Amino acid sequence: MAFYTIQILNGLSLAMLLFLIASGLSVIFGLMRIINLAHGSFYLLGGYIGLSVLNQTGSFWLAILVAAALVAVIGMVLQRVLLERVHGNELGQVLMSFGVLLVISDLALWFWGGLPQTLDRPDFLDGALRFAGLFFPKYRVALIVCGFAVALAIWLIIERTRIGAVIRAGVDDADMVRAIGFDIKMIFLLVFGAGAALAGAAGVLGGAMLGIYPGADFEVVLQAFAVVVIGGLGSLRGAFVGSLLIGFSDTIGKALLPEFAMFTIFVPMVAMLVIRPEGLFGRA
Amino acid sequence: MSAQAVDVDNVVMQFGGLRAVDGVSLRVGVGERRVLLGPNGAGKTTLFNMIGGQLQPTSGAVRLFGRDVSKQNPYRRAHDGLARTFQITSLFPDMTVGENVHLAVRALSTSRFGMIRPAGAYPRIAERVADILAEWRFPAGADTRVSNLSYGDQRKLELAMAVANRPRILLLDEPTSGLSATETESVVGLIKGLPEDVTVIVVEHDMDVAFAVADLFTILHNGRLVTTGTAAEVQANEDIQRIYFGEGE
Repeated sequence: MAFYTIQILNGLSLAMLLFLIASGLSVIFGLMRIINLAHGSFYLLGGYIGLSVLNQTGSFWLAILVAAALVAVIGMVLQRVLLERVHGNELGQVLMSFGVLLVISDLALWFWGGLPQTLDRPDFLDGALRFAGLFFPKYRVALIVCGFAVALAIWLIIERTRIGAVIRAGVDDADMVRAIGFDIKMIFLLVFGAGAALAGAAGVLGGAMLGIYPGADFEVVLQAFAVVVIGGLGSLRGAFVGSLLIGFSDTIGKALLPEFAMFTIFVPMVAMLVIRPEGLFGRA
Repeated sequence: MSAQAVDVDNVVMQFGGLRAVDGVSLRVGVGERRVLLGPNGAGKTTLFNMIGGQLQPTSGAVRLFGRDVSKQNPYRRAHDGLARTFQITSLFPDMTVGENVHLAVRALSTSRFGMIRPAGAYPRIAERVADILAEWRFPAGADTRVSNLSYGDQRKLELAMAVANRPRILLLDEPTSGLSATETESVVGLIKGLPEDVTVIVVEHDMDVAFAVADLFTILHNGRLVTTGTAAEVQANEDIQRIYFGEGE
């Protein structure tokens, strides 16, 4: 019993972390058709920037805020200076964003060193809740709550606000949005920045749960792409369901079949590509 | 001398080895109705995309009301009073008829603030949307998803969105393609009913539609402008006979 509840909790918390990363990736992909492998770098940078802020100030909340803001700026510069040049050129995007991923990865190694590090959680989230004879780590419970809250907030923004309507329209037909008079480049930039900020914040939150270390960027971007493939490009609902699927299959896979850990993420992805290439909620 | 609404000055569009538009100049006066004719691959849509801003000419200039807009984004041109439809129906299929119109109206509303406010929170825009919906009357209702609309109504909605902000220049790319005879007739009626000061340029294959909506016709062939003339002149022109019906067969 305890084994399963803790696995469910682990699966859910990993899923929420993945959602923070994949939601931005998916909306960016759907809107701008940018394949951005450097999205993993946003997570890594967020984690390390958060670590430095935390060590300097001792404030976890400030760490999240600064990481999100700085990574958003880095993301927007990357989009404007580099990725915009390869608009409409998938191979160019993959090569360029992979190059950026490698460069940022090495810079982070140089600057923050190669040892895995952990961000200290706020005191009140340390320890566990006791409920019905079971222990629930507080931090993971908080992460799950936070993930649901962010999902709800993004959903409200996309479905209920003016800019959300423009984003949805842009996913359908960006040229048309431009032709009727919206500054689509500005919208691209804002969405890219927001997606980067979410991934940066996820770096801090994830760093306090899983640690931050060289290679976390690769791991995260692989998982996030699996989520996007399963959920469907550009679909927020898809990113949410995909995150749950990948979060659980990874957790359960690692618990039951540790030697097949990578396998359990990519089998669902490959299966989806075979059965329904557009993903659960994607359009063909 | 008053400026032309649209002044295309010796534009060239080169795609790799293909010269899709090869030195075309075109002047369309304010309030004029002009049809661009020509076989497939003549460069009509490419020319349209240069006027609309989807493409920037390799060389040459595009001026709207005397102002050079060659380097301007489509959205800037939209703010200057240019609206267009596309050859392939371009709507937002997952949204309702009302939401589509709402977006079109909102695109040019000047408020740069309040992007986070709920979409229905602007009474003036809501009013304008209601006006347009009442004027154009979509039998399926404003809450129908566009993907469930008949093809004819989709094209009608595109037109409604294009004129939603009372453009000064309207570009219509094959507005009647794929429509039934009755639907075509209704679209022709809608185009003829546009306010007189709106400059309209239409790409059209259907000669009956072309002659019904315009007084002047410009013929393009292989990326070049062949001639511009009235219906009678166009029908009598031997070059055009040759372009459309082949040489001496």
